Formats: sequence, structure tokens, C-alpha cells
Amino acid sequence: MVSPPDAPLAPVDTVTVYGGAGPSVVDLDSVRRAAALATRAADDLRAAAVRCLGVSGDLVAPGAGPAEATRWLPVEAVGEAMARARALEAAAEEAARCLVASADRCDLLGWRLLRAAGLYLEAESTAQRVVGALVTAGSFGAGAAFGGLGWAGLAGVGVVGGAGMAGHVVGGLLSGGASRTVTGQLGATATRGLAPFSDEVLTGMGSGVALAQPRLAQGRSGVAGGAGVLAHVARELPVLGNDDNGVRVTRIGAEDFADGAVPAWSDSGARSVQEALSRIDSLYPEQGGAPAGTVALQKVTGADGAVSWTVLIPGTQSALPAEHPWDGRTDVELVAGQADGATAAVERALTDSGVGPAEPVTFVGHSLGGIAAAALVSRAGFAERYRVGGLITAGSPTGQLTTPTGVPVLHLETPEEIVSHADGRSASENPRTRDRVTVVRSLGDSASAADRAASGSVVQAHAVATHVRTLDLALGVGDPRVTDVADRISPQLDGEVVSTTFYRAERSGG
Amino acid sequence: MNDGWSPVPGHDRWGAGPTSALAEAVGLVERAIDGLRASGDVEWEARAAALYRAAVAETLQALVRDRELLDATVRQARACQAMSFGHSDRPEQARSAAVPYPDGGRPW
Repeated sequence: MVSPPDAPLAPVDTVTVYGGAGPSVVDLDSVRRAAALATRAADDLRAAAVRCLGVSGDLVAPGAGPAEATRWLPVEAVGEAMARARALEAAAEEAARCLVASADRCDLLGWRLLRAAGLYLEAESTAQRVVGALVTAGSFGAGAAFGGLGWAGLAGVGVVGGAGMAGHVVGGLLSGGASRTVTGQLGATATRGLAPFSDEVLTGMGSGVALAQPRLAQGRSGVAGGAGVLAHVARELPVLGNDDNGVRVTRIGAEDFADGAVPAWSDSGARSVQEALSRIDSLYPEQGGAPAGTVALQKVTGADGAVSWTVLIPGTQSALPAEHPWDGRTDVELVAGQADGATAAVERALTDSGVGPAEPVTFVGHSLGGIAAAALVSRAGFAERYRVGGLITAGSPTGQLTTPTGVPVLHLETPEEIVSHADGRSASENPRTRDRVTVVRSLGDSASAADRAASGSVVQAHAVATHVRTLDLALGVGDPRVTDVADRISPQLDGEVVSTTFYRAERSGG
Repeated sequence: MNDGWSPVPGHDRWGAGPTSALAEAVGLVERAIDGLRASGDVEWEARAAALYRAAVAETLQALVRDRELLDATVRQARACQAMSFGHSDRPEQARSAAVPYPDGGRPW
């Protein structure tokens, strides 16, 4: 096991991969040997640099400084000898600098190779574990206190919890109201400070709420139990919404989009998983002009007549319960494992589109959309009705869901977005199987100014573009676990004939 | 493995001078180049390994440049030392300057 280089890191070095099909034992042996050779080369180069630096003491005469050495020289030669000595000293220092830089490069290469093979240090430090336990305990107390306050307290947790999972709203809360400079700085500091422990905060809070309201938690503990309580509150309290359980799904056209046109990609397949993921931005009202609660189903027919589908599902569009199921209520229902409007809407869209049982369907979801997609494919009986071709989630808490064997799954997370820890699990705790890969990127460790800025903003850290960049970087380093999953999904995303149907989901009685 | 700070066996700094220290540096760089070249022979079919091999090749080029820089520094040291010892009446130092590499010399 090796530790990563010291931060700040090149963006490509901030990516960590969990799960997937790792190298064989033979490959691992070869990788370890190669990395050890690179490390030994680095040691030799540093030793060479030290030899170079040692030259300065021996410049003119061995073991003596220039003053001692020039004692042997005629007076007229002393000046030139001293000048040559200084030039040599500068040259030796330059050589040493270059050698140290090359040594660092060798170390980095060895580390990158080990990381690509899954051989890296991932254990939490003792200090992190202690702080994590304290954070869990503290937030447990807070959750229990809120729960003990009854409806009013639970409503408060509901607002906080819903907002927490709807990163857009958190960003707004942190930057609104008082001085933008002050709150922005506080928000950035809080985001970076909280990020490593956000799973513990949410676990503790959820457990506390569940313990205070065991009946509403239906006997479940932890985040799922707490979310169950909050989901109940969201359904029952008039101020937070209504108790509609039904969902109405309707096809929409260009006239329903803000600028009178469907997204430009509607008649072309995605050439990569990154492109498929980036298309989700078009389904957010504020970015793509789509009506709230819109999902897209793209049908692709290959040259051989084979049909495949891609379902694009955006994330939360309202922290509070709304007239569509892309709201905070659905967030807590999904985390609680309860019936929800988003998965119901996607199922209806699948039925309406006439997706055949043998036609592979790839689900791509951001935030709430990712949880909904993962919940759907994990649901008993779903994989029998539809052939799930792949699942891609970005910024979604999916660690408590079990996806079907044989389905390539790719999760993208950043600790700074906090949202993906809403199930009380960090990325490293997501299930790891041959088919299921989690790519996590620590934005705060990056040397990139854009990444550093995103690390202090839940909104930016959670943005689709940030996750697309993470996937770009993970594929760029050639990690075989990521490329394997991406290569299995990609062929299903594009074809000869492409058409897209857009659906708007709304809550309706029933 | 050399930590860079331990005494080098058989190295008499007083008797050898700066060119000897630099010669040791050249030897260490040669060994690093050989080691890194061997590292590039990693047997793994993953694209990551192909990228690693490419990065190793690139780093080897940088190391060759490092060695050339080092060679130039050694030449500079020899010239510097020759000038000093050209005026010196200490024969052991003159010998040291004339034979910069104890192992018989290295062409550069």
C-alpha cells in the first residue's frame, strides 16, 4: 500500500476508484515490481542530487573551501578560480534540482501505476475515525432532539434534510441573506470541513430521528429510518406539501421547452458515457429550459436493427414537496426505501415508450435521478421485465441499494457535494463488485483553481459538469475498472436511427 | 537502496574531490535509468499500463537530459580543478584531477 503524493495534486491524481474487476494476481505482481523499480530509481536520483550538492564544499580543492584552496594559487589567478568555482556550484545546484524533479516524477509514476491497479491506501486515519465517531454521536443527539420536539422539530429536520439532499438549495441558503462575502466564505469553509464527515453527520442525524420516532421509522435504524420519518412528515404536513401518491406522466414537445425547441442532441446518440451524462443538464428548467419534472427516453436502433434505450433522469428541482415528484419528499422516500413518485414516473414512461423486454436500457441519473434509477433497477422484478443494460449515477447516495449481477454500474461522487453521502455512506463504503464501480474525486486536494473553487461550493461540487470531468479524468488515466464498465455501456448509447421522447411527470391524486 | 545521505563505501572525499562526487552522481543516474527502463517492462494489458510505459519513456528522455547536464557539470569541474591544480604543488590533488573516475573513466 502506498500513500498519495502530497496535496495539491494534479486533477488526474485526485481520482480514486473502488470496486470493479481488478487485475489478476500475475498482473499485480508485475505492477508491484514495476512500481518498486520506479521508487528505487527515484531514490538513486535523490542520492545523485545529494552528491551534486556536496560538490560545492570541494570546489577548488577537495575538502577545502574556496578560501583554503586559493591559498595555493598565485594572486592573479584567485579571481578567475573563484568565478569558476561559483559557476560550477551553480551548475551543480541546477543539476541537483533537475534530478530531484525527475525523482519526484518517478515516484509519481509508481504511485499512479499502483493506484490504477487498485493498490492504494484507503484506510481512515485514527484521527479521522475518532472525529467521525464524535460527529456521529453529536449529530445523533441533534437528530434525537429534533425528533423529540414532535412535528415541529421533524419539520425542521425535514427542511434541513431536504435542503441537504438538494444541493442547489443548500448553496442558495449559504449564499443568501447576509453579506455574500461573509456567508460565501463561511459556506466554503463549512463545505470543505464537513465533507470528510458528512456521512457520519447524516448517519448520526438519521439514527437520532429514527430513535425518537420509532413508529414512523417502522423499525428501521440509521439514515433509512430517519428518512422514513421525514418522508412521513413530508406527506402529512400541509405546509410541506400534499399527500398525493399518484403520478401523471405526459409526453411533451418542443413547444413545452422554454426556448421552443427540444435539446439539440434529441436525434443523435451519445458517443460516450460522459456525453450521455452531460445531456442531463438539458433537463433542468434553469439550464435546458425543460419543464420541471422532465425525463428523456432515447431509442437507438443499430445497423443490425438491434434496439437499445437510454433513460436520462435529472435531480431534485425543489427542496420542498412540489407539484412534481422531483422534490425533497421523493428524496427522503427514496433514501427510506419507500414508494416514490420519480420511479413511478420513469416506469410509466418506459411502458408508454414500448420498451421491449429484450432491449437493453441504460439508466443515467444525476442526484435524485441517480437514486431513482438505482432504486428502480434494484427493485424486485424490474430486471425480469426490462433488460437493464447499464446504470450511471452522479452525485447520488446509492450505497444501500443492491444492483443486479451482470449489470455494469458506474457511480460518480465527490465528498464535497455532501449529497452523495446522504445515505450515511462514503464512496468507499459503496458495494464493490466486479460490475459495480465507484469513482470518487476529492476536489479539495486538486491543484486546479476550478476544482478548488468547486470544493467550497456544494452547488459546483454537485454539478453535472463536475461529475463529467471526474469521469473524463478517470477514463484518461486508463483505470481498467472504469474503462471496463464504460466500454460495456457505451455501445448501447449510439446507433443508426435515434429518436427521443420527453416526458413530464406531475403529482396527481390517486 | 541509497538514501543519499549515507557515506559511500570507498569514497575518500579529501582524496577524490568534486569530480569524484559528480562521477558517483553519474553512476547513480545511470542506475536509475536502467531501473526505470526495466520498470517500463510491466506486464499488464490494461490501458493504464500502456500509459505508464509511455510516461516512463518520456521520463527516461528527461533523465538522459539530466545526465547530459551532469556530464557538462563534470567537465566544468574538471576544468575548474585542473586550473587550481595547475598551480598546485600537491601531487595527490593533481592525480585526482587527472583521473576523475576511479573506475577507469567514463566517456562523455
